[in-house]
Amino acid sequence: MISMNSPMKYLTAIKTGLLLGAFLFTGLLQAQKTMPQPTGYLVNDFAGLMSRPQLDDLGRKLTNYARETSIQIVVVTETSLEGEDIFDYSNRLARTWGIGASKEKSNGILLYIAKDERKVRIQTGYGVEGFLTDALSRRIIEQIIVPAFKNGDYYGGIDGATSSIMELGKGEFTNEGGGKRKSEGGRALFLVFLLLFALIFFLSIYNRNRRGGNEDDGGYYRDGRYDERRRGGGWFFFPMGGWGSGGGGDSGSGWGGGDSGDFGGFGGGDFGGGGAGGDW
Amino acid sequence: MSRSLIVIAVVAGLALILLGKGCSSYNSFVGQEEDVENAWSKVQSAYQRRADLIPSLVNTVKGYANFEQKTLTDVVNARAKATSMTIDPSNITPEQLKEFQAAQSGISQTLGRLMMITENYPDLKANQQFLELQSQLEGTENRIKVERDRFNDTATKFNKSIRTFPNNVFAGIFGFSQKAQFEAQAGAENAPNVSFD
Repeated sequence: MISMNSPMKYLTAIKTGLLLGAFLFTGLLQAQKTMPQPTGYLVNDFAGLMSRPQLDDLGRKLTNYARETSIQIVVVTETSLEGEDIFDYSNRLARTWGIGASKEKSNGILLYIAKDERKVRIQTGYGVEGFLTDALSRRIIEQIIVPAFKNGDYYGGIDGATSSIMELGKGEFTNEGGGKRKSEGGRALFLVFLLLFALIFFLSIYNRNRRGGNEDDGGYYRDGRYDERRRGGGWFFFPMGGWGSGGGGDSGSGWGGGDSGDFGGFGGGDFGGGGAGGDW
Repeated sequence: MSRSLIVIAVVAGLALILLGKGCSSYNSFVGQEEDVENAWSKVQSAYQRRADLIPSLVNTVKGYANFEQKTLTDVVNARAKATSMTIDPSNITPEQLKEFQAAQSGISQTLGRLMMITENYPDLKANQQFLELQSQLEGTENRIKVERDRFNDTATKFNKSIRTFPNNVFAGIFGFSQKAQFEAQAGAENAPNVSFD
C-alpha cells in the first residue's frame, strides 16, 4: 500500500469510496422496516392473531419453561414484513433482542410469523441447534404450524409448535444462572412485603377492636404510632401487586402474554442462521 | 538549568502520552484482529458444514437419479476442490479470499444444478431423508450468509480502526494491514434456491 504511486492511490481512494457508498446504500435498504423494541414478554402478538386468554396461557407456559430450563422461546407476530426477507429480518430481530439466557448459552428460539405474507420462520440460537435441527424445525413448521394456520387456528399452531420444541429441549439446559436467582429474590421480597402488609392489617384491626369500635371507617392506616411508615409500605406494596398480574395496563394494544420479565430477561443470545421457514 | 529541566519534563511527558496511546492502540488492534480471525473460523466451519452434507446428499440422489452422473460428479469434484484449500486465518490476502470464494461458488453452482434436477424426480422429492437433507442444506446456506456478513462486519470494523488517525500511524509502526473482505454479490447469486413446495 505504501509503495503505491499517487494515481494508483487516487484510484483506490475512489474505489473505496464507491464501495463504501454501495455498502451504505445496501445498509439503508436493509434497514427499511423499523424493528419493535423488546417488550419484556416472551409472546409478542403484534399482529393480534390471538385472544387475551390464549396469550396468557401461551405466555405462562413459555415463561415457566424459561424459568425451568433457561431456554427462551419467543413468539413474535407482525402484520407485515414490509418487503423484507423473512430470514434476514427475523435473524436480525432475534440478535438485536438477544433472545437466550446468555451469550455463552445462546439458547434462544424465535418463532416469527408475518401475517400478510403468510410466512413463518423458526430461528434457532447457536446453543439450540443441537436439539432443534433445521430438519426438525422444518418438520414442526410443515406438520404442526402450516396445517393449523391454514384453518385459521393461529393459537393451535403456535401452541403445538412451542410444545414440541419444549419437548425437544427438555434436559438440554438447566437454569443455574442469575435469572432464576433474581426472580427468586423478587419473590422473597414480595413475600416479605405480603407478610408485613398482613401484619399491619391485623394489627390495625386488633387496635381498632381494642378501642371499642367508636372509630369511623377512615382506613386502617390512620391508627397507631407508625402512621407514615405504614403508608409508605402500602404505597410500595400496591404497584408490586400490579406487576404480578401481568400486563393488564397494555390491554389496549394487547400483545403481551404471561408474566412480564419473569423469565429472567434476554441475555444477549446469538443466532447463526439455523432453523427453517415455511408459508401457509 | 531549570529551563532545560522543564523541556526534559515536557518531552518525557509527551513521550509517555505517545507510549500510552501506542499501547492502547496496539492492544485494541490485537483484540480486533482476534475478532476477525474468530469470524473467519466461523465462516470456514459454515462452509465445512455444507461440504460435509454433500456426500450423503449425493448418495441419496444417486439412488433415484443415477443417470444424472455428470451433475453428481460435478458436485463431488467441486467439493474436493474447495475442501483442499487451506487459508491461514491470520493472514488472509484478497487473492486467497477470492480463490476461496471461487471454489465455494463452484460448489454453490453445482449444488444449484443438482437441486434443480431433483425437481424432475417426484419420488426423490417425497423421500424423507432427502427432505431432511434439503432443509439442512438450506439452513447451511443461511448460516454461510450470516457468517460471511459477520466476517465482513468485523473486518470493516478493524479496517476502519486502523485507518483513522492517529491509529493509522501506530498500525503502520506495528505492521497491521487491512483485512480482505468477501465481495457482496459473488456466491449469493449462485446460492441454490431451495424451496419446499
